[in-house]
Amino acid sequence: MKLLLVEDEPDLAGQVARALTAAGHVVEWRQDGFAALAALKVESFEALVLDVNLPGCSGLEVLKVAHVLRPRPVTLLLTARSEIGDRVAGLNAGADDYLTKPFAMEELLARVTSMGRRGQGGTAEHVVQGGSIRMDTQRRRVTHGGQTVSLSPREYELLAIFMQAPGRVFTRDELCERIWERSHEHDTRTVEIYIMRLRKKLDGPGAPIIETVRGCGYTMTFPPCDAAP
Amino acid sequence: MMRPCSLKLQFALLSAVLAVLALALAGAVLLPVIGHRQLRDLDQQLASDAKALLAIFANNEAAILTGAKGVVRGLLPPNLRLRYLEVESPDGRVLHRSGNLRGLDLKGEVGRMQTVLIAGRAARLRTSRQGGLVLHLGTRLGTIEKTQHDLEVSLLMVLPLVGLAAFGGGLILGQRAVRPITALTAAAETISTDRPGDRLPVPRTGDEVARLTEVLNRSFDRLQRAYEAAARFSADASHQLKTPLAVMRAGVDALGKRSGLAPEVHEEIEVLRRHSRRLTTMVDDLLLLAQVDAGRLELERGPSDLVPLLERAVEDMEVQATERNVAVVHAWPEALPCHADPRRVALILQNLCENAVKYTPSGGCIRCTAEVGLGEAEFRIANTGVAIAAAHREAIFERFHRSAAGENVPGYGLGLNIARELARAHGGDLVLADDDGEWTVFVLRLPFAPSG
Repeated sequence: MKLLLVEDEPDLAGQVARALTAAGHVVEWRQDGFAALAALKVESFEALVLDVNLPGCSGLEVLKVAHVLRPRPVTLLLTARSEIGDRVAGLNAGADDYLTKPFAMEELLARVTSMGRRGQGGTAEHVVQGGSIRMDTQRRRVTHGGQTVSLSPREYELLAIFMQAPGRVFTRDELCERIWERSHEHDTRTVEIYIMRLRKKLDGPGAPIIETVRGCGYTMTFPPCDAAP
Repeated sequence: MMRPCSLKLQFALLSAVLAVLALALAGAVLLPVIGHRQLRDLDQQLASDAKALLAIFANNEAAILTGAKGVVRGLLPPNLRLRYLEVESPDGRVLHRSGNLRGLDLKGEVGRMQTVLIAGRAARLRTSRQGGLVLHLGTRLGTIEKTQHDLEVSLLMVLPLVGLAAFGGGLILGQRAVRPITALTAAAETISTDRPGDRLPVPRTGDEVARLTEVLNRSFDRLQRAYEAAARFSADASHQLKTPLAVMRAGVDALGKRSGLAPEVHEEIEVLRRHSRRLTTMVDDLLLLAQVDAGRLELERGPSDLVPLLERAVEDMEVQATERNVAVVHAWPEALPCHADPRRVALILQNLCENAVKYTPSGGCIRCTAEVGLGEAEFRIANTGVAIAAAHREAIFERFHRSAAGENVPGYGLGLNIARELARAHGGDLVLADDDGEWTVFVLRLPFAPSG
């Protein structure tokens, strides 16, 4: 995807640009709002990664302009504030998603990728299938080979994270961040225990395997499916 | 402690007391003056009557001196027949004595007025002399006494009426005087809570109230400047602190993705990541409190159900409790409606649960119950362990408070403070319930409906 990154902090911009480039995107970087507006005038972008707090004109101003462009670039807002005001203003101004600083780079990449899919007209699926596991995200129901699996709220949330990105490695910290908005004592240990429980409940033929990637974290892989529905 | 009286009541009471005192004083001064005046008039009347009688007697002195009965009586003009009268010869022989004296012998110094008792009643007496006749002429003081008595009675009857009238008048006047102050108070209250940008209208009267209004407005200006500075700080600081955090975080992530790193390096990176996350949480907490202090905490409130939030918080707690050999029991209804911001309520519950796990000794128990209360959802979390000392019951909700029992307990003393501030921002509350000895019980209440 061709991306415009607007971020005034050069270190952070460099990190984001490197990660996006490594993920196969083409990244243009602008340091302030006016430069971003100028870039939007002469080039067209598929996606915009936009810091809210910019020198010159704010990210929200850039967002307003970007919103009327055709084709409209999908936009991910980066906000330093966890304040609701910013978030609501951003989403109202037409942002597709937002991410609060600091964020995990993996998370940013995942959001950009999923935004890109949506931008191409992909629709959110309510049912995720992986191996013999079927997850209905609307009814919050999980079946394993047709049999309902009873999961606690946290076990369900954890499974959903893995099911939506099969094969991806999640660090313990990333999982903590996804589950809890703020860190707390023993949270990584708690995640380990949830994973242990999940492994026990999903034991069976055709079930996905949550693998431990030594020193890194966890990933979910599915055995080759014999009886695809 | 005595309940302070309202200003207008104080005003009315004071008016009544003053009016009554003034009237009593006026009575005390006026009554003797009136009495004295009446006595003087009476004395003049007596003197002129005596003069007129002596003039009549002078023409008939010889006949009178005979002492024959009825002579004096026949000479008396009708208007003086009711007076006390005694006529004596120069040698002290009584020539006439009026019947109302009942034989009393009147004595007196010539040319003097005196008050005497005649038949048990006060009377005024004048003694005069002309030629060979000494005349004692007297009259009762009854009229004067009656007047004084009447005046006293009417004064006593009027006193409470005047007091009452002054009280009523004082009340009305007090109300009028206090009205601008009452209005000022109400206006100031809305400004300090709802519309910090507004100012009180200054009346054009130039009186004390106008000056008070100006002083209040200046205080509001100062308050608002401080408030805006705090708000700016919370916004600025969030940006200033979070951007470097984001850089660190991204750097650590990038390092972690390098291939061929030794497992120890990975572990080191994991530690860095965990701590940057903890730092973020602390910054978030401090900023949250800065927002609360600046009165600009924004809540994304809506009709919510407490149960899913409870399930998650208690599930997390159970994991940690099991590790520490602490039992968790819980019970709540199917649904617990409340009007709340689920993100913030999750934070309240997380803090309460963490607190409970922290302070329950191994082998102890945590009990979570929730129920529908009167217009609110009520969540109780109780844990066994050392009871909180009476002196610390409120202090535990203070910022950065660490109880003596918790000196080796991790954390930085913001959890309960944040939980209480958030509960109150919702129009609810978080309190420590009365100890029943064995359990330490926290009660969280969240209203069903939006608070006014």
